[in-house]
Order: sequence, then C-alpha cells, then structure tokens
Amino acid sequence: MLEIQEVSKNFGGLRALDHINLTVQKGDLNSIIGPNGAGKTTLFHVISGYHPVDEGKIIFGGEDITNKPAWAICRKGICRSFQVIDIFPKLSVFRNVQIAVLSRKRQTLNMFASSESMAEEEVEELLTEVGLAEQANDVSGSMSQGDQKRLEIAIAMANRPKLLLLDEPTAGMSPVERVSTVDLIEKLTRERGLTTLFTEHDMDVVFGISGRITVMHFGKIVAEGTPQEIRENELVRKVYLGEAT
Amino acid sequence: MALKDLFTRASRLGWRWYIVLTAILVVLGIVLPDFYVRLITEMMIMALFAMSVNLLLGYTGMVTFGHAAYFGVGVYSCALLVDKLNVSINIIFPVSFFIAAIMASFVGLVFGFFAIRARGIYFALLTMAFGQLIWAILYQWYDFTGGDTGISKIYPPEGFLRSAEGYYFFTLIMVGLCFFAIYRIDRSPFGWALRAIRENPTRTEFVGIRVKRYRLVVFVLSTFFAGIAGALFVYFLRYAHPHHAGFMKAGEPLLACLVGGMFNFFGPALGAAVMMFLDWLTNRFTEYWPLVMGIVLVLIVLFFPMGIGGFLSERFNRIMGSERE
Repeated sequence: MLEIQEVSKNFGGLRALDHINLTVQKGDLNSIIGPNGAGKTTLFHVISGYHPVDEGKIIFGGEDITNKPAWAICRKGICRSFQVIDIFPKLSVFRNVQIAVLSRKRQTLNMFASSESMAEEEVEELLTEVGLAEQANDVSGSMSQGDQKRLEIAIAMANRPKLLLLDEPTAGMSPVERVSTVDLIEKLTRERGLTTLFTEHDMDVVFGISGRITVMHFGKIVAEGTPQEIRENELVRKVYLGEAT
Repeated sequence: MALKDLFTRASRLGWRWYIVLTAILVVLGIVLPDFYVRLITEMMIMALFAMSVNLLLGYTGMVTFGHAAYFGVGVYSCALLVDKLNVSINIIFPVSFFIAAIMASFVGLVFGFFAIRARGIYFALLTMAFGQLIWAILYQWYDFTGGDTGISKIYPPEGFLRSAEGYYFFTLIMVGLCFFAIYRIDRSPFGWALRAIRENPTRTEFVGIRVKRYRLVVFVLSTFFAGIAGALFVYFLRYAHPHHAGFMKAGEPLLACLVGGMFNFFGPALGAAVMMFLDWLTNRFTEYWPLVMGIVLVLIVLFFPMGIGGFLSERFNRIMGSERE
C-alpha cells in the first residue's frame, strides 16, 4: 500500500533521512522505533506532506505522492496524529472533530448552512470510540494530555483514512490509559480495515501489537522484521533496547 | 440579585435580541432629531466596516492594516459614477452599489492573491502597502479622481432617500442584510473552518483543508462588505476624499474590533458604536479626541482583553453570539 523508495531528507548539514526504503502492506499494524533524533517523526513529516523530500519517492496505492501538499495527501487517505499535541485548543472537543469530518465531506466551503449539528452523529460516534463522548463540550486545550492525545486520534480518524500515522500516540499517558489507547488502536485497525504505522518509545506497546517493527538510527533503517527477530537482533540491542531485554 | 436574574432571563432571548435592537433602531429613527439620526447612520456604516474586517481578524486570525482601500474603492466607485456619468441618479444609485461591491471584491481578489502568500506580520504589512497604493492612486490621479479636492455633491436620489431619516432606514436595511449574511457565514461550516485556521493553520491543512484558498475566499468576502460600507458612506457624507482610503481610516475598524471584542458575532459592531459615541461625547467637551481614545483603548486592553463584547458574552452568552458552544 505504501512504498517508500530511497527517500532522503537533509536539514542543512543534518542528514535526517538517509536512503530509507520501507514497504507497508494493507492491513498492517507496524511500528517504527529508534532513539530520539533517529528520524521517525521526519519520516512521518515527509510521508504526510509536511516536508518535501530531497531524494526518493513515496508511492501510495500506486500513486506517486512525493512532495504533494499536506491537504492533498490527507484527502488521498493518509492521516496522522502528532507527537507534540496539535489540536485546536480554544475550540471545543466536538468542534475539533467536527471540522475534520466536515472537511472529509467537502462541506467546509459551505457558507450558508448552519453547522450547529452537522455531522453530529458521526462526531459523537468517533468521540465515543476514543472515550471522549462526555467531554464533547469541553474546551479541548484544558483537557489532560492523555485526553488530548485521544482527541488527536479522533481527529485523524474523522477523515476516514486508509493509512493512519500515529506519532507516539501514548506519550504522556498513565499505564491504564496506555492500555486502553493500545486496545483502541488495535480495534480501529481491525474493525475499520485500516493500515496503521506508529512510532513509540514504550516497548510493551511496540512488542505487544506490532506486526512488523522497523528500527531507525541516525536517519537510516538498521533493522526490520517481526517482533521476535528484532528482539534477538544484536545491533538493535546495542543501539536501542539495551542488553537486558 | 434581582438585576442579575433579569439579565439571565434576558440572555435567554438569544437571537431575538436582534429583533429588539432593530425595533429600537426603527423607533429611534422616527423619533430622534436629524443630527442624532445621522450619527446613528454613520455608526451602522462603521459597524459594517468593522464586521468586514473582523471576518479576517477575529475569525481567521489575519490582521489587516489596509482595509480602508476597499472601503475607499467602494466610496470612489459610486462617487465617480455619479460624477462622470450623465445618467439619472435614480438609475445610478442602485447600480453603483453593485459596482462598488464588485470593484472592491475585484481589487480584493487581486491584492489578496498576493497578500495571502505571506503570513502574520508580513501579511499585515502587505495589506498596508496595498492600502497605501490605492490611497496614492486616488490622491495623485488628479484628472480622474480630483485628488485631494475630492468629489462632492454625491447625493442619493431625490425624495425620501435624501432626507436624514430616509437614508437612515435605507442604511438600516442594507446593513441588516449584510449582517444577516455574515451571521450565516459565522454559523456555517466555512465559519468553523476559518476558526480552525486561526487556531492552528498547520493542523487544518492536515485535516484536508487548503488553507491558502480559504484565506483568499474570506479575504474577498471581507472586501466585498467593506465596499458596500464604502458605498453607503459616500452617499451619507455626500463627499469622497482620498483619506477615506487612507491609513487613519484603516485603523478605525481594527480599533472597533478590539474595543468591542473579536471573538463574538456582534462585538465589532458594538465596538464601532462605542467608538463613535465616545467620539461624539468627547468632541462636545474637548478637541483632544485622540487622547481620550488612547486612554479608552488602554483601559479596554487592561480590563476587558476580550473587548466589551467578550466581557458581555462571558456573562450573557446568547446575546452576543459567543463562539464557545
């Protein structure tokens, strides 16, 4: 479904991505791990259209989407959540998700209809899925970080993506919240026939649900395989997991 | 406290307050002497101008320093039509409003196309530059526009419209229609898309919205309403002058939005009315209106950072049409 071919990205002198090759099949639930600064978020940025690539191609569903603008990539079916929470803080939880749903329905140039309750059902359904139904009218910026992360997921889901990119979806969550978010991600991927790619630092999460794991270091992919293979990989142990795994 | 209860019950009237307001305005128009009727007419026109700027400022988070340009285009579209064409004013009057709106929108489209390539302060500076461009053209093209002599004798058609009262009701209807249109935009999906762009333009792109395009659309919309305000103004003042497109004029709607509150529907209109009221009040006692205005602004920013409208909407949600649901 997604093919990343020889993608490289430099920021001035820093080689953030170095000839990355990655393939994701439909229905996969894969993760990308690596130390901070490895290039995981940059990879997401490049796939979703936040940054252009310097070299290489990104092919989605057979179509070349390299360097296309973010809004176009979103419409083609790739949606993401952000590592640093990126929601609409002054708007209510309901409005946060509603804007995404209305955008998907191409309703956002509509200047005449009253949007009070447009797509109300769909928004409520999404909020219920992520467990935020009760906070629908709360100002989103005043919620806990964990809740805001779940809102991020709801916003990403609102566009009915084919490929979901989740950047550290459980960062800042308590262990209980973490479990429920992981269950949510798994459930969404299964039930909605999504393909999901996520980055994480929590190894329980990573080894718990990933189908395949890709390990990045200094902008390169150093290992790729099933959780078992990765766990046994010497280099990965040295670089990231630590010897005590 | 009895007064507070009264306010709470009053706020439940919600949008019906606008009917009350309209009724009050109608009565005032009939009852007040000409001087005050003209004062309120000007308040309504400036309120529309302020609302047009707020489409950019409050809803979309784009500061514009040059909106008087489009106001001025509205002014001069009508003034030039009346001055240059030898056609009966009865025909020119209605046509000129269309032309004013279209011309202002067209100039808005051209300038806007370039201005929205920039963001934040650079956008503001570009709007200021374009504003000055229009002002300079109006000022210097003496042969066509009369330069700083201006164009006078821009009268509405003879009859009721030419009286203070008649023009007052005409303005009330026009401004009312425009406010209704802006209200629809406020409540629409487009309105929420604008707020999203204001809150977080990057995230909005990631939700599938072409932010640049939306910015251009709202820019043209705001110049459309500014043009209509200009047209209403020139027939009110019966005189056109380049400084109607100038920098000082451009500041007025911005101040009105700040004073009245950017984040609720009626705020800018309220701000414009308050500013004009203070202007009138101050001028009865002193010529130092700018000093008074400066002090008022400082006080507002200190004590009512969300503007008077914002303060009221905290208290009486539904009257002011607060955007927090």
